[in-house]
Amino acid sequence: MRKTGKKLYALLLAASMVALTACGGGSGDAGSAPAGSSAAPAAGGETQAQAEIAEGASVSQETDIVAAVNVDFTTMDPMDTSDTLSGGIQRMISDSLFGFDDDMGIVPMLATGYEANDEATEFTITLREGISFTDGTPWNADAALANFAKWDDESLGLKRTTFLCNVLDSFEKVDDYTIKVNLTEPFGAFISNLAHPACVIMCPKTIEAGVEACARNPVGTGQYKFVEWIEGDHLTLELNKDWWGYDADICGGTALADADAGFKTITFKPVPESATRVAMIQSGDAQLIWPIPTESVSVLESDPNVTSFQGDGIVVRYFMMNTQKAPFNDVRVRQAIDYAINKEAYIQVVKNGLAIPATSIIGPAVQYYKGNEPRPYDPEKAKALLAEAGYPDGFTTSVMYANTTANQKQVEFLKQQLEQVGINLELNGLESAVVNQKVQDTDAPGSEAEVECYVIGWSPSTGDADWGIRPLVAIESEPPMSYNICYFENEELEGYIKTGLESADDATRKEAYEKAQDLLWEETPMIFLCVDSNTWATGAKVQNVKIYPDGAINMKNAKMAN
Amino acid sequence: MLRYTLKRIIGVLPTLIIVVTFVFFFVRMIPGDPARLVAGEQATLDAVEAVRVQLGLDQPIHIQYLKYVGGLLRGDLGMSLRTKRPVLTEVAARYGNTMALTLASLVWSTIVGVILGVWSGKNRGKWQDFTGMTLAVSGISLPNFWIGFLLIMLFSVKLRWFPTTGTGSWKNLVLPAIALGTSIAAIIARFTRSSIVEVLKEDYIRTARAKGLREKTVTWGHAFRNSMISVVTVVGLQFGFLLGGSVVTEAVFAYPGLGQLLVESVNYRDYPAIQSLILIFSLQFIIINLIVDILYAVLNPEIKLS
Repeated sequence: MRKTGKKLYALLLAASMVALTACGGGSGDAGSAPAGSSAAPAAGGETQAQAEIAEGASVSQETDIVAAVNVDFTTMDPMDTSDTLSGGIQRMISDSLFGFDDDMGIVPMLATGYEANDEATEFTITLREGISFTDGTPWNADAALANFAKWDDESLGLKRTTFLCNVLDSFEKVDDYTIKVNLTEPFGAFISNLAHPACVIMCPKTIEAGVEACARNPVGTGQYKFVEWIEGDHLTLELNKDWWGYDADICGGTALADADAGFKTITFKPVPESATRVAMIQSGDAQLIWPIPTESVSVLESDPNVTSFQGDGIVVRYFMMNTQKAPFNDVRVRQAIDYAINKEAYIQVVKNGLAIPATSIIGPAVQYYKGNEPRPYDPEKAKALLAEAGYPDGFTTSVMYANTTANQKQVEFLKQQLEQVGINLELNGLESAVVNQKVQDTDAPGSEAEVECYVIGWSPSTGDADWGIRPLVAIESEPPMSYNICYFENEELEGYIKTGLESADDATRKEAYEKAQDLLWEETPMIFLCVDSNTWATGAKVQNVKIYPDGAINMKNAKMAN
Repeated sequence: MLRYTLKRIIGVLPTLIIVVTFVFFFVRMIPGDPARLVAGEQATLDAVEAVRVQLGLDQPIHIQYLKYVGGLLRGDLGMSLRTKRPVLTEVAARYGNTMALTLASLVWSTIVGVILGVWSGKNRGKWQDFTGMTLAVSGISLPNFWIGFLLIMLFSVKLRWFPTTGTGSWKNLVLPAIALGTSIAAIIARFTRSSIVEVLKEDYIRTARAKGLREKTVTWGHAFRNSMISVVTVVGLQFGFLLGGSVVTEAVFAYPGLGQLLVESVNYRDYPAIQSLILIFSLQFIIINLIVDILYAVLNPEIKLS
């Protein structure tokens, strides 16, 4: 009997192995993928140094790599995209009229320059010559106008449709490589908006084929060609060796990327579980991951096969106060709270050190940023200011927030800090969609709104001060229109915002936004807590992979050592 | 048998109608605005309203319901709000993955669970029993995400035998199937054991032994077959659960199955996708229950199908 038992066991074991093998036919590749992230400016620079690859020694163009990211992609249509990850991939497949350099400075890409009238209502844009889309369609004024027509077409119902269609009035071809755009109203940030990821240029043939083609089968002028996207599993890009960015002549002197930069293919895999992403880069299943979970940074730093990085971002974290409600209608109370919160400790405790203290409403990588001297951590001064404002014993208030782990950690820290000066902060954590409904989708005036305090992060993906300031503090941006959850109303500030918006003149805009930043620093409608850092890690042989401050991947010049 | 099956299938219809209706309205009671989620956090109110109209969410709820039911009757599950593709396409793309993982997990866990259960039950109170049940309790107690991470650390990062994530090869299935099947094997082992223990007390076992049958015939021919009824029930139930996708295991191994799709859909308030997934899960359960009922009759002719 014993013998037969063993036989049976062996048979069953064998059967189970066969069954396992037979079940293996799924879809997709083995591998890993890239995660989207929001990121912010921080301590800057890599955490580990890398040796330079000698010119021509890169084997990247013969190498397939896998990149793991934290969420799945949503669409490949730039005008229908609201997440940084998808936007970053689209920027690899195609270029925009104006783009960003590594530090988010605006640089001409498919355009070579522009002229604007003083009122910022008329823009004449000259286009770069000698460029084709990857399907052979030439890039010229007709192709540009096809894109403008798409941006202006509200009937397509794309998520970003309102981004430009309200300001676009008319657009026309001046000659084969010049177009003229008329706006309905002065809009000084127009060129910055053209650099927004939503305005990546698509092939006119794809646009003609309809929204489904734009979303699923994009064709552009970019460094990579789209190969396939299996939802939930992977998205693959293939190198476009004919990319104009390799050609110094077309680029006007200096090529955008070295001749041996770029990977043969890149397979992006969405891996929501942070610990798994980390395991993938450690096991060599992935050569690039982002973002790195803060708790894994030290693990990766000690791994010789992995290089981890930390770079400046543009996500600023705020503690917003409803300035239409007592006690926050008194600027002394708001300033007292600023003195009561230790920003350095906040960064260490809440951000594991992966952030820098905020010095303005916008991050240092944003255009027209002007830093201010942070108020020091001074609980005594905070108490004095509270007493002066009539709250010697403090008060009780509440903060509403989406109950993610990161937010919970954040508000608990703030509660502890405010307790030291007698303020009792009640924590009201809710599921994110519920918070949106309570805070965002209400048209009650500030004095009647339910929200007292709120925590939020914001990143202006145009890289321009306008989109970092107007949606957060302009009167027109009070809920439900946008995110002025402070219900901050200040006529002087409105003037600066208007001046900045209605001028195309650099000096005028700079002055207006600097004054706006000074005013906001003084008025403190919200506490400017920190600017997040971007984190990413690559296999030790991979080089020059960066994350733009807005959190999108930047691998133009990426290479791989043998 | 055919009549019985047909009767059961017709009996399923009211359940399905209730499920469809309940899920449709329940999903809409979850707080949160899909138009806002689709439009994105930084969208202005105009953009949100434009999206709402485009998605048809501005229409009265009874119109939306009728449209949905009408679509179902034509075999149209609707368009995903998130990806703007037919829900059926979304589900189909992942169904094969979930089915593969389910079968892989269930096959090994059933085999191991039954062997462990019979071994323990036959040797009730002896060291074999203690060993088997200690293993079973451990299997139930260890959370599968934890087992998943241990497997990844050992077999992917250290030994590099199996990939961390992905699909496409049998190697991709090994680690998630172990992580997912461990607790199921343990549950099956416990059920099998108690069932065997009960059956071994029956008169017909004593009779079989008295007839002079060999012990292995008594165990596998008489005791085992009769103890299978409760085991089949458990396996059937687990099969139904697994076909709904395993949220946790799929997340750990970045495995593109239905569990992840459901979570993404709920986070996104993707009404058509949530409705359809729950409808599909219910249908699966109903079908599996039917199969289990028929299997009862096969296992024990005393159970009449009438």
